[in-house]
Formats: sequence, structure tokens, C-alpha cells
Amino acid sequence: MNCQEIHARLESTLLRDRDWQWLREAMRHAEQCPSCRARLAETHLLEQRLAALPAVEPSAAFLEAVMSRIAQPTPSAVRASRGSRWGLLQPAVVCLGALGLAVAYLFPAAGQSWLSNLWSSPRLTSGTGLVGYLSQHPPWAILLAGLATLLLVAGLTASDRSPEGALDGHS
Amino acid sequence: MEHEDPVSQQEIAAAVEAVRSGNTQAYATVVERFQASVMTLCVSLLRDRLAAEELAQDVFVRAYQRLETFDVRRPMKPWLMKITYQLAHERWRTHARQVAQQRAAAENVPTDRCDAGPPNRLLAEEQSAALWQAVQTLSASQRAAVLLYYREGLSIEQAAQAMNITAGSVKTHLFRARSQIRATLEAKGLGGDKS
Repeated sequence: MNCQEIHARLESTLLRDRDWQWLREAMRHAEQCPSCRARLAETHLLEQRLAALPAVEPSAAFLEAVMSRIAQPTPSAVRASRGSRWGLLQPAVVCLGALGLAVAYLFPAAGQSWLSNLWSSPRLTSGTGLVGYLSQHPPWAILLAGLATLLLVAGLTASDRSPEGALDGHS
Repeated sequence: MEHEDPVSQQEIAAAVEAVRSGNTQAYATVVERFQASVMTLCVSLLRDRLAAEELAQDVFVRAYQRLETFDVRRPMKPWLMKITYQLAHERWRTHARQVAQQRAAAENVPTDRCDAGPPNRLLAEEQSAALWQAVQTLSASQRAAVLLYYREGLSIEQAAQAMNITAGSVKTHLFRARSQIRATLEAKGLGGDKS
């Protein structure tokens, strides 16, 4: 092994990986060669210094910031909590349907609307109980539909702020 | 060089299992153990301390979200380093156009953003600061390879997985990086013989 071979090999050798056989031969040569001895020592020192590069510490608030962020809902958790609100879709459709029927009754298209025909059909007007009463007193039907819609909107808004929703998936 | 000793690995595995069982606070053990390693790589990759700290936070949040996929029988550091490198890449892609536009706009405005980070404020020894600065002159891939292999003590294969390249490419990055660092230090009169 000569100086040229050692210098070339050092360029493509990671001393940390310790190719002992090659190192022994190189050291044997370096005992009689100051140039190669210096080159080996310099490479070894550089690798040591790179391994000892100081760490960069984050700010003191780092841990708290991370823990705070993981305590918040992940996007998937938010989607999941929103998904549960689809259970309110059915009452929403019923309320909006009732409101639509009431509006159609109040503003029929010159008496030709099938909705107004439906509203005045004997099957509906002869009903008993709440349906029969509401069919004969349209203003109350409108009021009830409006109230139900308001309650629905309030419920949707409240579920957005629910702490249980914020903790979904993190307990 | 930092090593993930068996005792530490057991502690981390226990913390991960605790988090999976519902004890969110146990995640603090993971953050405290690896925050310096993650932060150091982030600073080196982004060369901006504020952005690096944001990225480091993102790394731990992403790791938390993916904790179910982590194999507790394996060391955690390579897994976190891979997430760090991936997120840094995502950030580069996202901001590449903005940076190009800003560079064009700020061509005549001096900036110290690339000097932010540890060299002057956090590294006490002049030689360490010089070495850090020499590392910062490398390409992003070379910086990552140097930090993952030398400072973090990852194997060539682990570094390759973290960077999503071949082991041969990692070695090539390391050889070129070492050569360039040596040249930079010698140019500053801080070569190996004088260290």
C-alpha cells in the first residue's frame, strides 16, 4: 500500500464504519509516513468533530407548544365530529319541507299549484290531532316550522363549539 | 454523537404505548428526548431558526398523528428523522416559488436569514461555529447526510431510508461533504492539523 492509494481510499472511506483490515494496513504504512499519518489523523479528527456537532435546543416554550397542538383536534377528528351532525339531516329536511308547504299554501301560483291542491286535499284536511289542526290553521304551521328551523340552526352552531368534539380522538 | 441506548429505547416504547392507551401527556417524554435532534436537523435544513422551530413542532405533531404506525421494537430516532426530512421537503416545495419571487425582489437588500441559527449565538467554541458554518455551505442533501450519519449516529442504511435515497447516494453525499468541509476549514486556517 502506497501513499497515493491511502489518500485515494481515504476520500471514499468512512472511518466510523471501521474497515479494520484496511485500517491496519494503512496504520502500518503511516508509521513510516508522516504525510499519510497526518492525513489519517486529520480525517479521524474531522469525523469526530462532525459527530460532536452541538445540538440546537428549541425555545423553552417548545414542549408546551407541541403538547398544546396535539391536544387540539386533528382534521380527521373534526371531520368525524362534523359527520355526527348528519344525524340531524332528517329533521332538517322535515322542517324545511313543512316550511315549504306553508309557503306554498300562502303564495299559491294563481291556485294552480299542486302543493296548494295537496294542502286542501280531503285526506289531509279530514285528519285528526296535530296534523288536522295545523292543516286548518296555516299560521300555526308556519310558526312551528320556523321554530323548528331555528332550533336546528342553534343545535348545529352549539355542536361546533362542543368541548367533546374538540377532544374527539384524543382521549 | 447521540445514541439511542437500550434503556432509552425501552422508555420511549413505554411512552408510546402509554400514548396509545390514551395518556396524551406521555408524549412529552418523546418530545423531550428527541427535540434537540429534530431541531438541529431542522435548523440545518432550513437555515432559519424561527422556521426551523415551526417545522420541528410540525414534525412532532405529525409523528403523534402517525404514532399507530410506529414499530416500538425499532429505534425512534430514524423514524423521526425521516418525518423531519419529508416535512422539510414539503416546505421547500411549498415555498420554492415564494422564495424565488422574494429573492428577485430583495436582490439588493442585505439579509441575515441564512446566518440565523446556532453559529454565533448558540455555539460557544469558535471551531465548532466554524465547522457548523462549513456544514451550512453544503447542499441540503449533503447537510442532511452529515447530520444524520455523524451527529445523530444513524447507519448508512437508516440515513438512506430517512432521505429516501440509496445507501450509495448517502455515501457519495458524505464523501463530497467531507471534502468540501475540509477545504472550507483550510481556507479559514482551521484545518485538521490546527484543530
